[in-house]
Amino acid sequence: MSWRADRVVRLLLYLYPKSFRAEYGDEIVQFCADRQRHEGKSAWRIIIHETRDACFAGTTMRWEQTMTRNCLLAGGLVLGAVAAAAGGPFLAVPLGIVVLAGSLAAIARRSRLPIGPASPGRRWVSLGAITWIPGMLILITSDRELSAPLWSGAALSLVGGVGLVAVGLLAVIAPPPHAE
Amino acid sequence: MSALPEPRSFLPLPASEMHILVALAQGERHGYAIMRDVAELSDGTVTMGSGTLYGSIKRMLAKGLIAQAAERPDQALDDQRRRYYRLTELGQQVGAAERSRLMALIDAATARRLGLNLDHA
Repeated sequence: MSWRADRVVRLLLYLYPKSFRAEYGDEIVQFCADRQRHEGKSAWRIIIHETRDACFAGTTMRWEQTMTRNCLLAGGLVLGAVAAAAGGPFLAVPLGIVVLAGSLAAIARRSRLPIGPASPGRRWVSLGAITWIPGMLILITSDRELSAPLWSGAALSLVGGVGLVAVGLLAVIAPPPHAE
Repeated sequence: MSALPEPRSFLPLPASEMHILVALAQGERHGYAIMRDVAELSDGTVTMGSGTLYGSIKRMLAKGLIAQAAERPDQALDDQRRRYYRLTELGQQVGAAERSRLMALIDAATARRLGLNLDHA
């Protein structure tokens, strides 16, 4: 493989996450050189095929790395909080239930969505507990009927907190069978 | 010694991972040899790029289905960048479970005459 083609292959490696690049970068360069040597195709034809594959595989790897189960839950919770703040209690309760149902679904399918290596379950138990605090404070400190925003905030905080604690606890007690 | 996970918990296996298991069933291989084997086995319909191949290899190493071979077949003739991979015991068991699953599916398709009427159309 010419030095130019070698250079292009090394540039393609930037489509992959850094950890993958560090672990398999040299092997991928060797792989492309082997392809050219044994298949008799031009280096550029191989590069076109590899570019297409790197776009697809690199995007998938980055997505899998970012979209862990807990990220999805946290994202759902934030989205729910924003929507509840804008929509009031009638939106907060269904959203809280959706977050809880999402948590339970994630538990049921835990082998499909990995727990991020940097996000151990304990951290999510803590986050769930912290999510509970505002809801509890609202209920304890209010001595009369709650206003709509407070009501929706409390409902979302309590229901969402349960979901996060449940998922976190499960990750601590029974990690997914295929987790790294 | 810890017990191996239940092989059926890995099913259904992604097609790329099953192809790699089948390629490694014949012995240790490096990345390019696996890709060439898969292309031959599939009559050229499956050509894995390096990202798909090494992405699958990384996942399979994490699951314990394959392992990096400790020794290289011929160090003098081989490039240092190449790594060889081999099936683990769990990989053998998962491969067998996936084979049974696929065979049951083919049996069901045959029993329901899926595509068998095409010859007479």
